[in-house]
This record gives sequence, C-alpha cells and structure tokens, in this order.
Amino acid sequence: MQPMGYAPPAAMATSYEFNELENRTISSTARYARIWGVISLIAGVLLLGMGILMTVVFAAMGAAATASGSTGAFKPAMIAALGAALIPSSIVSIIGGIFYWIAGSSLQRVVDTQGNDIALLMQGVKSLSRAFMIEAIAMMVSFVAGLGIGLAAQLGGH
Amino acid sequence: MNPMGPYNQGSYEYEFDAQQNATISSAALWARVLGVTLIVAGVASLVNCNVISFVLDLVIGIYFLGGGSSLSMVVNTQGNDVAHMMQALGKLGTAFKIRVIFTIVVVVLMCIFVALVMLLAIAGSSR
Repeated sequence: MQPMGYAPPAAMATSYEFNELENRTISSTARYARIWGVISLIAGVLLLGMGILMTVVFAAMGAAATASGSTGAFKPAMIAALGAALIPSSIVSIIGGIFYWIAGSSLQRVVDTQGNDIALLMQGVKSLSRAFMIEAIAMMVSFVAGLGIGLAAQLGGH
Repeated sequence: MNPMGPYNQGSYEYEFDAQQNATISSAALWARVLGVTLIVAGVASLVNCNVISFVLDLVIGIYFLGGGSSLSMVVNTQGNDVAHMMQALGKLGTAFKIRVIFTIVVVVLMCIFVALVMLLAIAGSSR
C-alpha cells in the first residue's frame, strides 16, 4: 500500500493518493457540489410543477373568460404563458442538478476510497464540465431571450 | 516559500496525461465561460437596480473564472498539477458554498412572494 500524498516518479506514475489536506479540499468541494445539485434538482422539480400548474390552470381560466366574454385587467393567458416559460428552465435546472450531484459524488469517492483517486477525480471534473456547459448555455439563451422579450415589450409599448 | 501554499509539500508530483488534460481543459473552458456569463448577467441586473444579484453574480463569477484559470494552469504548466487542481477545486467549492447559502435565502423569500402573487391573482379573477 502506498502512503497518502505519494506518487511514483513521473515516468511510471499511473496512480496518486491525495493526502489529508488535499482530501479536505476535495471533500469540501464535493459536499457543496452535491448540495448545489440537490438544490438545483428540487428547484427544477418545483418550478416544473409550478410551470405545468400555472399553464393548465390559467389557460383554463383564460378559455373560460373568453367563452363568457369577460375582459378585465387580469390576463390569465399571460400567466399561462409565464408558466409555460418556466418549463424549459426547470428541465435545465434538473439536468444541471444531476450533473452537479454526480460530480460531487465522484469527488467524495476520491476521499472515501483508495487506489483510484485520479480516475474518480477525472469523473468528477468531467461531470463538473458538463454541468458548467449546461448552465452557461442555458444562462446565455435565457439572457438573450429575456433581452428579446424586453425589447419587444418596449417596442410594443410605443 | 512555496507559491502553491500548503499543497504539494514533500511528495512526488503527479502529471496528468493528454487525455486527462483534455478533460481538465474542457472544464477550464466552461468554468470560465460560466464565470463571464455570470458577470455579464450581474452587470445586466444593475439595469433593474438589483444590487444584490449584481454582487452575488459578480463574486460567484470571479470565483468561477479563478477556478477555470487554475484548471488551465494544470494543463499549461508542469510540475504543480495537483497543487493547481486543489486551487481550482478550492475556488469552485467556494463558489458553490456562496451559491448554496444565498439560494437558500432567496428560495425562501421567493416562495413567500410567489404565494402572495398567486393569492392576489386568484382573488382578482374571482371578482
């Protein structure tokens, strides 16, 4: 068994065991990555439920209002559209959450196991990379969409 | 003094191979893209005078940028790979920690706000 924090010389280096201090850093990152994953997952599921509920309930209310011919200041169709807009972002949140959770779990296994630290670290880094990519693209898309909606609302107001 | 801080003292240094460097390089790229996106989103939120969102996105964005830079250094330098990796994980971990704490606070406040808005909307439609 090789001591913690020891790796053979580079020419024959195939594995590495992280030492106690390194394990503490990895463990802390793993813990918060998993918590963030769970938060994203729960938020995504809640948003998905809320989005579906808002879409169905307010679309039905809008249809009923149209059928009865009542036109008030309250626009159920707008809230239904808002609910529908929540659905894609909630799915992104769920998928991102899964990747953060997987990354956190892989990083925690680096600390909890011996003999496969580098492979597990790479799994964690790969999952983190995917989570970052999903989040960055989703943020860019929602930013551009928000900008477009804002501009359309501005132009529509004039 | 060791520029890498407390890491990598008295041990052989592990060098990541080409395949591992490719994985790390991808993570570095997306961490930096996410960092920049967060900073841009933070600056954009200033348009709505949302100072809290601005500060939060800015701080988290800077940590993601830092984490991405440290990951890049794992790929672009030799002799300190594990130390750079630990720096990257430390910065990314701090970004996650800040997010977790702020998200818990924001989610509680948002739930109260959404419940109030929905109650008002339902009360308005029943008139």
